[in-house]
Amino acid sequence: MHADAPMRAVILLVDDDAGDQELTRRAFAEAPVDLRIVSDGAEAIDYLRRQGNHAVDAPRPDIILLDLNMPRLDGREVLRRIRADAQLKDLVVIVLTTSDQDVDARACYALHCNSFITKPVRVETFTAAMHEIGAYWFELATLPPV
Amino acid sequence: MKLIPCILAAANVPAQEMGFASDGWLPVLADLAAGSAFIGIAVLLVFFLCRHPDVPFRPLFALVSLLIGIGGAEHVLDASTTWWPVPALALVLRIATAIAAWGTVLVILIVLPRALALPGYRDVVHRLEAEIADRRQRENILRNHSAELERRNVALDEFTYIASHDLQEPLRKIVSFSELLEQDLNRNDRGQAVKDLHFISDAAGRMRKLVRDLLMLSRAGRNDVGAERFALRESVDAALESIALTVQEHGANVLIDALPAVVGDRTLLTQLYQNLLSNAVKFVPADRQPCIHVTAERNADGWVFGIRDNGIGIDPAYHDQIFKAFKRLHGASEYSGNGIGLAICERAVTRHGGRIWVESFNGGSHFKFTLANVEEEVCTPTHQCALSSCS
Repeated sequence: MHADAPMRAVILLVDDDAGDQELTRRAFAEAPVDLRIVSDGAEAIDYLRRQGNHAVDAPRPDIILLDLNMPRLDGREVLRRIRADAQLKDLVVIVLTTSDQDVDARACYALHCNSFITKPVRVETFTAAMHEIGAYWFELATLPPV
Repeated sequence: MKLIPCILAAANVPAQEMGFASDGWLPVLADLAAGSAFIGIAVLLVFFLCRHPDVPFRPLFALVSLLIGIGGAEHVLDASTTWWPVPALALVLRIATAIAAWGTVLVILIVLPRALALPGYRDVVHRLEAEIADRRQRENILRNHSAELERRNVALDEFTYIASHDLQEPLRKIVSFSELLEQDLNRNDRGQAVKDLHFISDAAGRMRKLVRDLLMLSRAGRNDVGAERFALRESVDAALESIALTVQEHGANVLIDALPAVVGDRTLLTQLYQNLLSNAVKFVPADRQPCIHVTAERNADGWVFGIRDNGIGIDPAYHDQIFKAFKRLHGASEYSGNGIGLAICERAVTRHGGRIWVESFNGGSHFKFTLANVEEEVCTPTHQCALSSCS
């Protein structure tokens, strides 16, 4: 892990699907990760701006795992708002979606996501993907300094 | 004024003085004029025949031209006998005229029945008008077909999207949690195993509903829309009956306006009311008693039907896209539904020549729709189904 990084990396999962929340929770169960979960785009924005129900205890995430199709505010709009916000625009955003459509990938990269990943079907592959994300962003890459 | 006596005087000048054999030069001039004109007519007719390929009865025209031509030649010959009398040639010409004239009579006799059968100008115009109308109708049919094809293509695209996304999603959950279930059972972690099973059955349930709704959507899009005349109230009652349990669970009040009779597909319209009513009941927060009003208003343009609720309302930004298949605005955990319901409603209304839209206000939504074939009011007066009134 990078020298300047906090002891436990914070990952914010933005996903409305209880099953995917559970899968991600279990994938990171044994990792030194503080996994925070919000259920839709509007709540994600509240969390990142520390407002509404997230005024307290909302540590700035090191990476955001963002689902695309969500109620109220979808993933694309969340990404757009993050990149338009001076305080948040440096955040690492990984789009994690069921979609394998080119059009979605293209749209997300156009909105400057850091990576676009289609959720793997097998649980082993899913867990491995989560670990690889952790290994890449927390060990190999240098995250933007806070 | 002096022209006529002058001509008469000229006509009486003795031919000998003029050098003519007969007793005046005017008949000679008249013969020459008539003869040249006849020959001119004959030549012009032949020219016309040669240049215009569509003239009917060409042999007849040719014969008439010949006849006129010979007649012309006779006149010219008459004029020329003044100087060079050729009685033999004159006789030959007369015989030729007789032959040509009788030939023409024969040809006319032959072609007359066909000529009589030719359509008149008015007939032709009528026939053309009928043909144009027929073609326009065919063009309209073609245009409708191509619009229908377009609509079906869109539906097919939607279907592909569901197959690739919405159906995959619960399937992925079933696969993933089955694997986790196996691991948890191997570890003897009973608590976690029960949780896994819950996720599996939840995903299977969603998939079942998705497949059922897809089938409904496909039925709503099919061509054979019924045209039965029935009281719309019957559809509302049937819809309420099918969701009676949900209405009861939520303690919903339902108020129904007087509804007219319509001509349409009973099953589709019942499905429409069923979807709108169950949405209305579902999207009311748990701490509020659902109050649903089945509305029917008659305005200048006709009937507007609707379902009004006191639920969470819908952000105007989403008013258009909610009728597209698979746009769900609310989380699966919070409110159940896969987003196909309103797409079915949209299709059912469109198939009945109407349109559907939503109006949102403080504390609720009002889904409204029109139908093309609505009859005079026949139904019951405003009727209250539940005990307490909606405030």
